[in-house]
Amino acid sequence: MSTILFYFKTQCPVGCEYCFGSPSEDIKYNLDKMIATFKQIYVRGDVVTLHGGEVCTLPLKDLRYVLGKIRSAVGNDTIGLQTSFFGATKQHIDLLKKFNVSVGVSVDGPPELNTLRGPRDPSANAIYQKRLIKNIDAIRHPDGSFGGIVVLTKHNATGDNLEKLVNWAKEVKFQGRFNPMFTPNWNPCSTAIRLTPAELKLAWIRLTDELLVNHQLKWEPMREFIDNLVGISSFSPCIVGRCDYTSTTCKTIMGNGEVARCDRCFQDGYYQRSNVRNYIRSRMLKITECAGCRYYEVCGGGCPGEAFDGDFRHKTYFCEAYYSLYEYLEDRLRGIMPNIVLTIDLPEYFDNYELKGGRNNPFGRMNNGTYKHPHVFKPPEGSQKSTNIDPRHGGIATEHGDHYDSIPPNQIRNRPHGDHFDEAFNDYNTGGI
Amino acid sequence: MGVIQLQSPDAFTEILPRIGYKFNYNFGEFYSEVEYEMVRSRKRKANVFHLSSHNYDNEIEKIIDDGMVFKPILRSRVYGGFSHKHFPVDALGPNVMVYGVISHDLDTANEFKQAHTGQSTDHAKIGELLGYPKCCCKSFETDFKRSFDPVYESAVRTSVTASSDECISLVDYDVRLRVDLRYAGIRIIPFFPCSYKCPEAQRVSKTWSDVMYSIDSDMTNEIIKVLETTPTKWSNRNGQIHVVHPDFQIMAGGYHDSSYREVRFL
Repeated sequence: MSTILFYFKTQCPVGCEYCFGSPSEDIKYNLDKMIATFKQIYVRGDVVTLHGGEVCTLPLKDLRYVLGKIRSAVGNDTIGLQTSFFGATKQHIDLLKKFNVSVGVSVDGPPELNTLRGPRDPSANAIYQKRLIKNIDAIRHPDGSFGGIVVLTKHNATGDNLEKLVNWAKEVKFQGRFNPMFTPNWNPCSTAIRLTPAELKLAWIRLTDELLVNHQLKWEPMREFIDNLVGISSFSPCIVGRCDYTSTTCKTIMGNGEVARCDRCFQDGYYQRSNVRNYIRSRMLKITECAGCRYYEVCGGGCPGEAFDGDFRHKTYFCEAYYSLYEYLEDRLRGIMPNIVLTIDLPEYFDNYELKGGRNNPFGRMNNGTYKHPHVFKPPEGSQKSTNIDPRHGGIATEHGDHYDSIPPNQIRNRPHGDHFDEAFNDYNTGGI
Repeated sequence: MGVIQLQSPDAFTEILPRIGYKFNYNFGEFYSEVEYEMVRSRKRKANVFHLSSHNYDNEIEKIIDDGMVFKPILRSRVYGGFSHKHFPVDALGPNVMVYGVISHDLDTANEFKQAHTGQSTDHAKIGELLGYPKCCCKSFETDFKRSFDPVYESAVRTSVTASSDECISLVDYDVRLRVDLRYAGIRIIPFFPCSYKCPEAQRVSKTWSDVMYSIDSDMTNEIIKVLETTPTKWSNRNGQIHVVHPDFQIMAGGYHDSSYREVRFL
C-alpha cells in the first residue's frame, strides 16, 4: 500500500517560512497526464492525497475536473487533501464536500503561533489567519473535530508556547499529526526555527501526556508509535516503515505525469524514483548508526528527508526524539501490563513479521493457563540482556553486545587478502549494471 | 530477507535522472562489448567474462569463433546492479552465472585463474594480464587494503585544489581517467588510476577510447560528454555510494568503514 500524492505545482504562491519543496523548478501541470499516470499506478488500498503547492489556488474548474476523475477511479475510498486553505473560497469548500474529500488542514496552532504559515506580508497574513479559522469551521466533522498537520518549530513548541499549542489543540478539537519541521538543503535559514531533537522530545512527550489521559485524542505519531510497539497493525507512519530514499513509500505524481519520490526528498532537485522497493538505507543504518538501538525495529532510522545534514544515508536528525518517545511509551505500556510482549522483544521483527504480514500477540505471556498471575512480571525464559544503544550517549561509538560487535570496523578494513570473501571480489570488471 | 554482513551490502545501483534528462541505460552493456573487443583485437591479453546460464551456448560459440578460450573461475548467483563482489554458489541453475576469464591462449587464462584463486589474490599479476599500468597496479594493491572502492585514494595522489580530512576537490585532472560514474557503466578505463592525471593511465585510456570509437562513436561521445559535465560529487557514507551529477544521481552499494569520503570533480 502506498500514498499517492498529486503534486500540481512545484512553485507555491503561499510563502510559508519553512517550506521543504524545491523552489528551483516549475513544472506546468497537465491534468490528463496526471490522471493517466494515476490510473496506471493506483491499486485499491492506496491512500490518495492532493497536496503540493497549494491545492486551493488551482482554478476551480481544474480542481472539479481532477476530483471527479479521481472519485470515479477510487469509488468510495478516501481522497485526502492537505491544505493551508490559502486561496480557499466557499466554492472550494462546497466542491470538497461534494466529492467527499477528507481535508487535512495545515495549521500550527492559534493565529499567534501560526504566523510561519501563510503570506509573509503581515497585513496579508492577518487576513489569511482570519479566513483560516472560518474555513476550518466550515469543514469540521459532526463531532466538532477537524484533521490536520501541525508543524512543530521553535515558534510553537517550546516554553509557554508549547502549552498554548496543547491547549489550543484540545479546545479546537484538533486530530492529526505533530510533525517536526525539517530543514531542506536549499533553505538552510530555516535551521534557526527548527527544533533541536531534545526540544522535539519534550514536545512529543508533553503531547503524549495529554493523550494518555484522553482516549479520544488521535494525535500522531504518538498513537502510531504505541501501535508499532504493540504490533497489531502495520508500522506507521511511513517514516518508521523503512522508507528508502530511492523508492519512497509515497509516490508523487508530478504535473507532467511523471512519478516521483516523496516530496520530502525533493530538496536536492532530483525527483525521479526507483521502480523497485528496496531497504538499502535502513539495512545499512541497522549495522552502522543504528547498530544496537533498542528501537531500531520500530524505527528503521526514520525519514530520509530529515536525515542529518540533508544526507539521506544518515539516520534522522530527530533520532533522540524518536528514541525517547518510544522509551516513554514502552515504560508506560509495561507499567500497565508487565508481561506484555512488544515488537521490540521479538528479534528481527520487521523482517520476520512485518514484511511477511505476521503480527505480534501482545498478550501471549498473559495467558492464564501459563501464568497464574498475569499482572506479576516474570522475565521470559531464556531472555538475554537486550541491546540498547541510547543515541544520546554516543550511538554507534558506544560498545554494544550484538553480533556485529565481533567485527570491529578497523578489522574489516584491514583484513588480510586471500580469505574466502576476497576470492569473490570482482572489481576487475565492474562495468556491468 | 536475510541480514547482511557489515562488509557486504547487496549488489545495488539506482540511477535517478533529473526530470527531462534522458539517461542512456545502455552504457554498461556497451562497455562490456568494449572490454570483450579489447581482448579479441589483442589489445590486451585477458578479460573477465560472465557466462549466462540462459545464453551460454551462443556466448561459447562466439568466444570459439573469435579464436579465444574461456576458463571458469567461480559460480555466482545472478545479481542486478553494480557489485563489488560476486555471490558464490555451489550448484548451477537458472539464477546462476559462471564468472571466468577469456583469452587467446589457455596458458594466459590459466595464469589469470591461478592469480585469482591462489592462496592470496595476486593483484599485480591480474593487473598485468588485464593490461593495466604498473604504477596503477601498485597503488591499487596498497589502496585495496584500506578501501574497497579507492576513488578517494586516487584523488589524494592527484594535485589537490582543496581538501579536508574527508573531502577532496579536483580541478586539474583527466576526465578520461574518472571512475566515479562506473556504477552506471560510464567510464573509459576499467581500472583505478594511481592518480587522475597519471600519464601511463592516459596512454592506456587512448587505446580504450579508440576501441570505443571503433564500435560506436555516438555512444563514446555521449560517455565523454557525461564525464566532462561537472561538477560531480562522489561520496561514500554508511556503506552507500552517492554520486551527484548535474543531470542525474547514482546510488550504489559501497562498503562501510566508519569514515566519510568525498571527491568533487570540478
